[in-house]
This record gives sequence, C-alpha cells and structure tokens, in this order.
Amino acid sequence: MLLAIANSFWMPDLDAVVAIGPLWGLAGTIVAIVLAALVLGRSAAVSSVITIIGATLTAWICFTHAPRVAQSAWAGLAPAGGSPMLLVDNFAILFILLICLFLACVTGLWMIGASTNARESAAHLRNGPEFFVLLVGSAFGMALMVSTTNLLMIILAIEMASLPSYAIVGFQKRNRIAAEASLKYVLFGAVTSALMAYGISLLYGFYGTLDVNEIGRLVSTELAATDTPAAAKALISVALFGLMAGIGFKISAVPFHFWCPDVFEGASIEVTTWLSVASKAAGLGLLLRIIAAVLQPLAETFDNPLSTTVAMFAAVTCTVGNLAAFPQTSVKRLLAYSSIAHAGYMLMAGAIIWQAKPGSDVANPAFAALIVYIIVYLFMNLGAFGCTALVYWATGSEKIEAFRGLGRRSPLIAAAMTVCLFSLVGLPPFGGFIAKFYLLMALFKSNLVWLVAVALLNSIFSLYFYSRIAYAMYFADDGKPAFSVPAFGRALVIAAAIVILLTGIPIAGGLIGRANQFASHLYPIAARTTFAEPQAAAAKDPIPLAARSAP
Amino acid sequence: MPSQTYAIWILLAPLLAAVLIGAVGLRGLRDKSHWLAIGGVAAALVLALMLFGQIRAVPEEARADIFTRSHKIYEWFRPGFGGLASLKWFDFEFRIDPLTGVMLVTVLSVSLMVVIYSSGYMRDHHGHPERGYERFFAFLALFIFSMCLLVLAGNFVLLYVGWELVGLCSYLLIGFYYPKPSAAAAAKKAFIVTRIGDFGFAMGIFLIFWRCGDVSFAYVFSQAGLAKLVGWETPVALLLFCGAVGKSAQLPLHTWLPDAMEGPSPVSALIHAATMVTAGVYMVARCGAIFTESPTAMATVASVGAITAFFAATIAITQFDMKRALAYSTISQLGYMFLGLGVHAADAAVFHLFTHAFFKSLLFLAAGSVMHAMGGCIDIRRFGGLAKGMKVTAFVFWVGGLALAGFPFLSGFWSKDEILHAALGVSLPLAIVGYVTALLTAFYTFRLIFIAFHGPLKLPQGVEHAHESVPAMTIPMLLLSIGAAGAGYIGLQHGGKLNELLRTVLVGRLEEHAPGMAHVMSPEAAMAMSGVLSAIGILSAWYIYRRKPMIAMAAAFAMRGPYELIKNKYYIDELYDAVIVRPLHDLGKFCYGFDRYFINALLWIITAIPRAAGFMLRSLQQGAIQGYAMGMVIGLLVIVVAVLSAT
Amino acid sequence: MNVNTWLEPIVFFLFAGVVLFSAIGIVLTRNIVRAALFLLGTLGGVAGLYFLLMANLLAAIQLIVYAGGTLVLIVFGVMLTSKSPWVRFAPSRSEAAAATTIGLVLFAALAKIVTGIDWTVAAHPADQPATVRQVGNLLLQQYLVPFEVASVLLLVVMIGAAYLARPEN
Repeated sequence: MLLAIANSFWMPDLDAVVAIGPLWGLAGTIVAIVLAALVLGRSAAVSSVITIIGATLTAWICFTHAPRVAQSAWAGLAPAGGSPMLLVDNFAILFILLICLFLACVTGLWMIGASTNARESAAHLRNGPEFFVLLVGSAFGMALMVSTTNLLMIILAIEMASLPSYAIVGFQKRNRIAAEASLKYVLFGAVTSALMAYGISLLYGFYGTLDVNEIGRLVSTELAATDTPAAAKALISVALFGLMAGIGFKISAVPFHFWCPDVFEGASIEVTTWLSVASKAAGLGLLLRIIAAVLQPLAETFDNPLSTTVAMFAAVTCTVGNLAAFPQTSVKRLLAYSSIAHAGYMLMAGAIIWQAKPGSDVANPAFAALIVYIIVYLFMNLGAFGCTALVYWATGSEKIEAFRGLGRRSPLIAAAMTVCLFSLVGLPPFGGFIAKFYLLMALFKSNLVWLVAVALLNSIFSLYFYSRIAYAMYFADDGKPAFSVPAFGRALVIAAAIVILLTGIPIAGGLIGRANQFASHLYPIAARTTFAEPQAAAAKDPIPLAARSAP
Repeated sequence: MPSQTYAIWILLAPLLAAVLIGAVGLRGLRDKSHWLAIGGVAAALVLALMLFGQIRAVPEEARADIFTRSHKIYEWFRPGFGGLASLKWFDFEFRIDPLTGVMLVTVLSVSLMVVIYSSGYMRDHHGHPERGYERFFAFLALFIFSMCLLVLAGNFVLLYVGWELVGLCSYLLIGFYYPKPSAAAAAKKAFIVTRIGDFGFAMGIFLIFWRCGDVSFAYVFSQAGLAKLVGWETPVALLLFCGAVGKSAQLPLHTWLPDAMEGPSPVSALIHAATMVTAGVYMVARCGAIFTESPTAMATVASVGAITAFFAATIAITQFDMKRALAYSTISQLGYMFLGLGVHAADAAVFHLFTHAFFKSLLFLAAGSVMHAMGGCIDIRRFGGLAKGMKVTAFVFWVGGLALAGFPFLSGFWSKDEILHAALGVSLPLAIVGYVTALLTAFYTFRLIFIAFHGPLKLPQGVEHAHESVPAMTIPMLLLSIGAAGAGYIGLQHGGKLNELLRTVLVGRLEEHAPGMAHVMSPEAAMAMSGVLSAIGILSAWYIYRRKPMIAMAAAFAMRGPYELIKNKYYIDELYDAVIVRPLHDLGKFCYGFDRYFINALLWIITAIPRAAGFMLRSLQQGAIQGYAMGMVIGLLVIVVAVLSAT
Repeated sequence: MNVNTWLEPIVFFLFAGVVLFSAIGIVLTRNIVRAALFLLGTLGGVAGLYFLLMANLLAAIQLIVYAGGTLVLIVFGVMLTSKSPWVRFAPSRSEAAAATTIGLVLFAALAKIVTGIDWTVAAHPADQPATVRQVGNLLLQQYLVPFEVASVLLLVVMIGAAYLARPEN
C-alpha cells in the first residue's frame, strides 16, 4: 500500500534534476538566504553575499548547461506523454544568464546604497534578508517566465515575478510615495493578471490543452480555415489578447503602462533598476516564446489582424512613451517613460511575422534583432539608472538639476551617462544604434515601412529629452563642488558604458550572429519525459471550436 | 597555440590594463597604476616574441600561403541595406606575417621601456605621482592596444579603426596637461592636421571597396583583387599616401609633430618617435602591392620622403628646444623611410623603422630625463655641461646620437645605409639629397649633445644642481641603448635574418623592380661614404660648438635672411594660419551665428509640437488610480473593437 | 422523466439569477459593506453553478477561499481602514456615465462574439467519477511542477507579507 503510494509520486531522476539546473540555482538561493537568516542571524551582509554567490553559481550552471543542451536537443521537464512544463533550452539560458547578471548588479547597487545613504540605510540593513528573499524570488519568477511554454506555468511564473516585486517596491514602509507606488503596482498587476487568466481559461476551454505550441497549431488551423465564423475568430483573438495583457503589464506597454512612472519614481532606485531591466527582459522573453508559438505558424496562411494590432500597439506605446517624457523633470520618471518607449520599439519586432522553418538555422530576423535589442537595452538602462543612483546618493536629488555640471564634478560618471543616453536615443557608434538598426532593417524587410517611419520619428523626439540631461551635465554648471562615488558603482556604470561601446561597432556582427542562433532555438525542441506514468490518464476531449460553430 | 590566439591576447592584455586602470582607479591604488600597465605590456611583449618565433619557424615553401592568409576572429558587420543573406560581412580579421611580427616586437618592446620609464618620470622629485597619474597610464595602455590593433589588422576598415584610435590616444596624451593652453592647442592641431590626411586615406579605402567589393588584405592584394584595381592604382595609392603623410608628419602636413612635444616626454618618445608616426610607413609598406603597380605613386613617395628629410634636417639645426629639434629629426628620419619605400626598398624602410624606434625613443627619454632634472626647462641655451652630473643620461644620449648620426656599426648606420644604397640604384638626385641630409643629421644631433652636455656647467634659474634620474628612468634608457647600438645586427643586408624574412611579404624588392640602372657604387663604398659623412658632421659640430662657438653666431648673423627663414620653420605655420585657419575660423563664426539665431529658432518651433503633446499626455498621468484604470479600460476597449472590426 | 431534466434548468437559473442580481447590486450600491455582502452572493452563486456541473472540489474551494476567506478579509479591511461603517462611494455623474458607456460597449462586443458562435453542448459531466481524486492525482503527477512552483511562490510571498505587516522596530 505504502509502496503503491510512493510509486505514484514523481521519482527524482538525475536527468530531470540536471535538465532544469539553472532554475535550481535560483530556487536554492532563496532557501539558502532563509536558512542563513535562521542559522546565522539576520544579517544584510550575509544575505547579499549569498545572493551574489547564488547568481554567480546559477550563471556558472548556465554555462555548463548550454553545451549539453546544444548537443542533446532536449532540455526541460515534461510529464509522460504530455507537453513540456519547463523548457530550459538555450534561449531560456540566455535570459537566465542576463537575469543573474542583473541580480548581481542590483545587489551591488543595493550594497552601495546601504553604505552611502544614511537615511535609508538603517532600514535597509535591518531588513536585508527579507529584501533579498523577495528580490531572488522575483528573479526566480522571471527565470520561470522565459523557460516555459505551458499556460499554467506562465500564470504562476508571472505571479512569482510580480508578487515579490510589489513588496520590494513598497519596501521602505515609512515612505508614503513608495507605499502608494506599491499599491498602484498591485492593483494594476491584479487587473492584468485577471485579464490574462480570463484569456488563458478561454484558450484552455477551446482546446483542452495548456501547451502554447499546440494551441498555436490549433489556432492557426482554425484561423486559416474558411468555415470558421468571424465571431469565433474574434473570440480567439480576444483570448490571445487577454494572454498578452499579462505580458503587456510586465513590459509596460500602452495601455497597461500607467503604473510604470509612479512605481519607478516611488521605489528605491535599485528596485527601479531591477524592474526596468530584468522584469522587462523576462516579459519580452515570454513574448517571443508566445509569438514564436502562436503567431509564427500564421505567417503564410493568414494575413492576420493580430500582427497589425501588435504593430499599432507598438507604435502607440513608443509614441506615448517618448512624448510623455518631454515635460519630465525627474530623471527617474524620465527614464520610466523612456522604458515605455523602448518597450514600444521592442514590441515592433512582435509585429514581424516571418515564416522560418523549424529546425533551420535561419530564424525570424525580428527575433534575432529583438534579442540584440534586449541585451543592449539592459546595459543601457543599467548604466543610466546606475548613474542616476550614484548621483542621487551623492546629491540627494534625482531631478535633472542634480546633474548640472556633472561633467566637471564627476567626469567618469558623466561620460558613462552620456554614452548610455545617446545609446538610448540610438545614435551611432553605440550599441543602441546597432540594436535599432537591426530592428528597423527587419521591419523594412517585412514591408512595415510605416512602422520604420514611426520608429525614426520617435528616435528624433527622444533625442530632445535625453539630451536635456546631457546638456545639464556639460553646459549648465551651477558651480557645486565635485564629488566622488564608490569605486564599485563607478566600475559598474563604466562597465555598462564599455559594453554599449563594444556592442556599438566592435562586436556588432558577432552579436547578431549569436542572437540568430538563440532565436532559431526558439522553435520547439523535444522536452524529456521524466515523470512516472500517470495511474489513470485523464480523458481529454478537446472539441475544435470550428466543430462547435454553425456552418 | 594558433597564432590568432596570440594575437587576441596581445590585444587584450593592454586593453584590459587600460580599462582596469581607467574604470576602477581605486583611490588607494592610484599611484600603483603603473603596475597594471607594465604587466599588461610585458605580457603582450612576451606573447609577441612567441608569435614572432612562430612566424620565423614557418618553412620557406609555406610562407607565400601562410603569410597571405587572413585570420578571421568573427564576423564584424555588414555594410549597406541590401538583402539580409546575400551581403558580404566585414570580418574582424588579423593579418599575421613577418611585417606584423616586426612591428609588434618593435612597438611592444619600446612601449615596455617607456611605460617603466614613465613610472619614474610622471612623479615629482619627492616621488609623489603627478596629477592624472592613472589617467596617463590608462591612455598609454589604450594607445598600445590601438597600435597593436593597427598592425594586426587584416583589412582596411580594421586598419582604419586602429589608425583613428592611435590618433585619438595621441590627441589625449598631447593634451595631457590640458590646463596649459599651448598643450590643448597642440592636441587640437595634431588631431585636425592628421585628419586632413585621414580624409584621403578614407577616400582611398572607399575607392578600394568600390572597385574590389572587399576590403580584406587577403583579397585586395591577391591577383584577383589587384586585377580589379587596374587603372586605378595611382589614385588609390596617392590617396592612401595622403593618410601616411598626415600620420607620419611629412610635407606638407608635418606641422603638428613639433607642437606635439607639448605632451609628456615618454609620450613623445613612444608615440611621436617610435610607433604612431611610423604607422604611415607601415601602411605604405603593407600596401606595397598597390604602390608598386604605380610608378607615379612610387616617385611621389620617394620625392616627398627625400624632400621632407632634407627640409626637416635644416630646421633641426636651428632649434633651441631640445625636444623640438628631436621632433624635426623624427620628421627627417621618417622622410628617409618613405624614400626607402619609394625606391623599392620597403624592407630597408621597415628595417630603419625598427632601428629608429630604439634610438629615437632613447633620445626622447634622455631629453625627458634632462627636462625632469632641469625642472621642466628644455631650452638648450639655458643649460650646459650636464654630463658631469648626469652621467647615465649623457651616456645614453651619446649612444642614441651616434646611432641617429649613422655612426659606423651602430644601428642607424646599417639601416640608413641600406636606404641610401637603394636610392642610389634608382635616382641619383634623391640619393644626393639623402647623403646631404645624413651629414646634416650628424651635425644637428651633436650640436645638441655638445651644447647640452659638454662645456662649463650651466643651470637654469631655480635649479641647484643637475642630478641623475631615478633607476626607474635610467634602467629603461640603458636597455634601450643596447637596442640602439645593436638592433642593426639583426637585419644586415647580407645574411641578415630580418630583411630576409621581411622580403617574403613586402612587395617592392630592389632585385625585381630596379629600373635597369646599375649600382653606382658597391655596397662597401656606399657604407664607407655614409660613415665618413657622419664623422664629418660630428667633427664639425664639435669644432663649431665646442672649439669656436663664435662661428655659429657669425654664420647666423652673416646669413640672417636664410637663418631667420629656417629658424621660423619656413613660415609654414604662419602661411597655413593665414590661408586656411583664419578663413575657416571666420566661416565657423558665421555658421555659429546662423545656427544660434536661425536653426535654433526653427528647432524651437518644430519641437513645440511634441512638447505640447507631452504636456497633454502628462495631464493623463495625474497619479489617481481611477484615472489610470479608466485609461486602461478605454485602451482595452479600443483593442476589442479593433479586433472585432478586423475579423 | 428524469428528475434532472426539469430540475436542472430551474436550479441553474436560480443560481445564475443570484449571481446576476448580486453583481448588479455591487455596482449600484454606495455602501461598501453592502457591496461586500453582495459579493458573497455572487461568489456563492458561482459555487452553486460549480456544484451543478459536478465540480465538487472547485465549488468547495470557491466557498472556502472566496466566500469564506477573501470576503472576511475584505470586511476586516473595511472595518480597520474606514472611519465609519457608513462610508459611501460618491461617483460623479460624468464618471458614472463614462463607466456605463464603457461597460455597455464591452458588453455589446462580448455579446456579439458569444452569440455569433453556435455553442454545442459537450458531454454531460455527471458520468465522471469524483473530482477530488482526479485533481489530487493530476497535482502530484502531471502538474507536479506548477504545484511545487506554487509552494515556492507561497513561501516568498509569506515572507514579504510578514515583513510588510510587521511593525517597524
């Protein structure tokens, strides 16, 4: 009897454990922080060090994992006879690596903040373990977001990424602005989650499966079929957009962007950096997976309104972000709008549908361009927010006025900030230019010329408000004394600037080549079955929507 | 280890040093930052020597194949907008052959000495680092990286990148003392004047790309590549030569180099004597395949070189600023190298580049040592007889001076002689100019030595006594003096290993291209002649400046007109100022006014639209969650309606 | 005639009526405690519909978690935060008009979609065995990964909640 019960459980199988190695790394870090707090006492230093070690370890696992994935063509976990629950392929590994990198960077920023800012540091240091459990928890959620194609897992992953984020936004409990920001974040998150759950339940109801790839196949046949009634097509589209709402919230696409400026302004700056960088990367990774699965099969068969709608979204998001950044006086808010605008640029790639053959080396060029864009964008934002943080900690203000005369007061920080800003505009010879160049080229080749025009126009707009900061740094000196910043902070922002310069011209070609490889890994590969046979397979009876509808 | 791995690490070692010094710059470690630079450069030098060993080990029969190969590291970028898959990539590729090997070894060995020297030089008399100590080493390491990139580059675009990077580093280092207006002006001048040449260089590269559709050396210098350039060799070669003229400070773009002496002395030694200024020579040698196809271009190169050599030597005689005199000497010696390139003796030119790097950097370092001891004074009228207090400096200056003067059996003798001998085989007038210049060279060099180091002790105001420099400075100088004395034996014309190796890659050998003119003189006779000329120059300098100082003054007085003309550098700077700089300046002022009052106003009007839109959007974001919810729901509604109407 | 065939529609419309009535009530009432009570009706009605579909476990969870837990939480929240139990919402006319318009348009759009499809009835769920066992098996087999992830999620969220709820110092 006991044996029978034991047999019905999942037997830990070494292959299965290894297959999702990077995720163990992050989950283990959470446990380690909690245990360390229990055993060694509540120490911010210990938990921050554990976080950095955990991030490094996970990155190392990723590195060792990648060649194995490339060889064996499977990576992940799937129940017997089912579709994969977790899919730690090379695409996921790329994003997990980025997330780990930023986890370490944000932890570093947090350490600087804790050591420099007297007002906030006491609370910071007292509550270090909680902060890091939440931070790593959200990182874990983001890692899950990019390594699954199962709708149930997607919901859980987004919640896993969001719920701790709500808490760390309001982490300074005494700060009213932070609390308000946190509340807004929660409300928006809840509404978009509900929309997403609604969409997902519709999709599950139609097709009886949670696997995105399978749904993509069914959706494309159904949308392509001529006998599907218009209302059914509309319902499918609505369901898909419900799904997109959750992602739109994560990447702050219009109209799910309202939380973004308030939250970015209210949260402490390292949290803002985290949200603007890692959260967006994970959202875009998930978006790519869904587009690859759902929209990709439609490319030849169906000139679909989905693509046009995504394009409209992208255009609106981009324009709203850039225009609203014009009157901002707080650099944090300005960068928040800038991140909305960049979400718009990146969404543009989602509009490009390209029939790439699964298994071939040539991926959708938009996907490769988007991967390059994400990588470059992450470094630009890390640099820009890092500089803002350093200026904030040195001057106590994050207004544009605080940047006045920075070129004299802290030349290296000003230089790094300038690089980041002009890269955000998309000027050569910085990485931002290359990223935008590949993206626009892909748009151009898909005959989305109007979108190219929108993007270019927006880039010109954005030059205005980004250069306001540059102007303040170099041409508006108010004679305040020079200041020095912690060496680690300087190293961080300069490293970001160097990466931007490197991706600008020196390694642009290598980057797109690698990105193309990662993008071609997006097409479904087999996931290993590692579950015991289910005792009684649940009878599935999916009825295609077409069969239910009137002829 | 494959040779490109060496190449990558040769590049990365100084680059990492530069980044680490520049980015981290820990306050406590600031005065230790030279260790990073020394470590990086030393590692690169060791690797370069190993790479050179590998290059030498290539068997004779495999050379033609291996040395023309391109070592691709990764795909770099795709030019243009055409079809995604069809366009050709520019690769990040290296060219690894004896020319690269020699250049790397030269650059890195001199660099190592200069970096070590700087760790002593960039400090005051109490051993405290100067302001910007770590900045200096970061720039220096960045320069060394750029120079290595320049010589390793396997295509024209990468070469151009290295070319501009060394220009940038030169700018940064000339302007190292930027609070000093003259240093800032000199930096600007160097940057702008070389840019004029670079424009031609870029045009040349465009032309090559347009004709060949590729910029890789492996293709352009192949039979197929050269075939596509038929009929275009002369314009291409002349345009490329423009770049070389700017970079290597040849007439008429030489004016920046003397001013560049505003930079710290180690910079003058490394960048403006040994390495960067020789990039032009390197580039012409590298493109020998194109130049030798065009007699016009070859004649131009040779004449520009010879005229520059003579002309700069005359100016050097009249200068009282020790570093400026050496700068004119550098221009003159670079002229020799171009003369060598122009008379199909590219191997001799590169050989001279190699020896010149040692003795000229040595001379600059010694001049820096004098300057350091004299409290920043470098005017030879204000000091003298320093040999008593500064034995090591005087000794190494002698060694460097003898090598520069082409005194027999020192390095400069061998290499200069080879160039002159080759010139004899091509054109008698050019050779005569060369020999006269050799005489002048010996004269001006020893003029400096006799005035500064011998005779009664004389010190500038405020300097109590002439003290020798610290070991960190004297040891590199002594090591370099070994090179200055002996570097010539590596590349002797007959049986020398270096030239033999170089000939395998350099197009432009005397045997092949000498246009039928028999050797006017036997090699031995030519050698004897240059030895005698150098001795005459040295002796006359001794006679005039040690025995009868009145002669110099009397001569200067007797030939007031020509003397003033030469002393003022033929008024070329003034001419450029009147003809080019002033009008451009006025145009600039006009453009500024136009920009400020017209364009700005126009821009303000244009940007008013998005600004207004921005303010409108801001009113949507009032902070009340109800408003946000409304906005979101309206957005959703738009989507649903759009989807409904689309399906 | 089977009892089900005539009883089921009656029960369905009963529960559906409760759900609809309560939902409209939530929107129209201006008293927050009343709104909470109406919410109880909605949630309970939905639970009833689940029972009708033989989804026993789901119905129980609906009752325990929402009607039991969440609702109590809401009432507590109202009690602890508001100054008097008689707090009234007072939306302005324009807000009410905008909300009504948006709601109606949304309703119209969804109605158009839903009525555009001829829904056929799937197999009657009554033939299937008890759902608790099935759900349990699925959770420990097919959906083990989401189950475990949910546990990590709860751990992290619990720590966050504990931190936010704990008084400073």
